[in-house]
Amino acid sequence: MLVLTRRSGQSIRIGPNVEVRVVRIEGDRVVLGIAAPRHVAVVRAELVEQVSGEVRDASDARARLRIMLMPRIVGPNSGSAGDATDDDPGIA
Amino acid sequence: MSQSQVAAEIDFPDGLVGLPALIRHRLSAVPDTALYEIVSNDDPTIGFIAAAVDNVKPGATEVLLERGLISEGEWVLAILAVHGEPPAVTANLAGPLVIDMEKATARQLIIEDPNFPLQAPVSEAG
Repeated sequence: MLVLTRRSGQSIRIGPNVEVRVVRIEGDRVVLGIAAPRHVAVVRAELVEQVSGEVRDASDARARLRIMLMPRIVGPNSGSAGDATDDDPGIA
Repeated sequence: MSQSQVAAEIDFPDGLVGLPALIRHRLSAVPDTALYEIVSNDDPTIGFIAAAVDNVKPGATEVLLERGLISEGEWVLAILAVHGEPPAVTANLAGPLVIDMEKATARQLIIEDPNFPLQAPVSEAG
C-alpha cells in the first residue's frame, strides 16, 4: 500500500480524473473531499462490508420471506396483489 | 414484457457485493405479488426476494437517474430481508440491483446516502 503524508488543504490525484483533498483535520477524524467522475463509486469501505452482509442476510431470509408472503399469495386479499401493473407495481 | 410478468436469465458480470463469483441469475416474478425472486444459477442456494425500488422509496429511480447512476429504462430493485422481533421486512436501498433487460445484464450499486439506508422499513399495503 502506498502511504502518503498530506496536510490540510493538500490533495492527491488518483489517475487522471480523481482528486482526494484533505479538507480539515478534527482530532482523530480527517474530513476528505473527493472529486471523481459520476460513474466512479465513492463509498466508505465499511458500507461495502455492510451491503455484503445484508446481501447474505437477505439470501438467508428468502424462505422466511416466502412464508411471510404466503397469506397474501393464497389469502382472501391475494386477488388485489396480482393486479400490479407497470405503472403501479406496488409492494403487494 | 411487463415487470409483473418478467422471467429472464440475467448476468451480473461483476457478481453481487460480497459474492463476486455469482454471475448468472434467474429473475422471475413472485406469483400474485408485485415482488421478484432472483436466484443464482451458479449457486441455487443463494437467492433473494426483491421489490421495485420506487415501491419502497417513491421517486428513488428518478434520483438515481439524476445522479447518473442508472440509465433510462433500467429497472432498479431493492433486495428484501427480515430483521427484528417481531420480524419486519426491510429493503436494502444502499445496495440496489440495476437491471438492463434488453442486454440481460445487471449490476449492484452501493449508494453512500443516508436517504438510501441499508434496512429501509417496508410498509405493506394489504
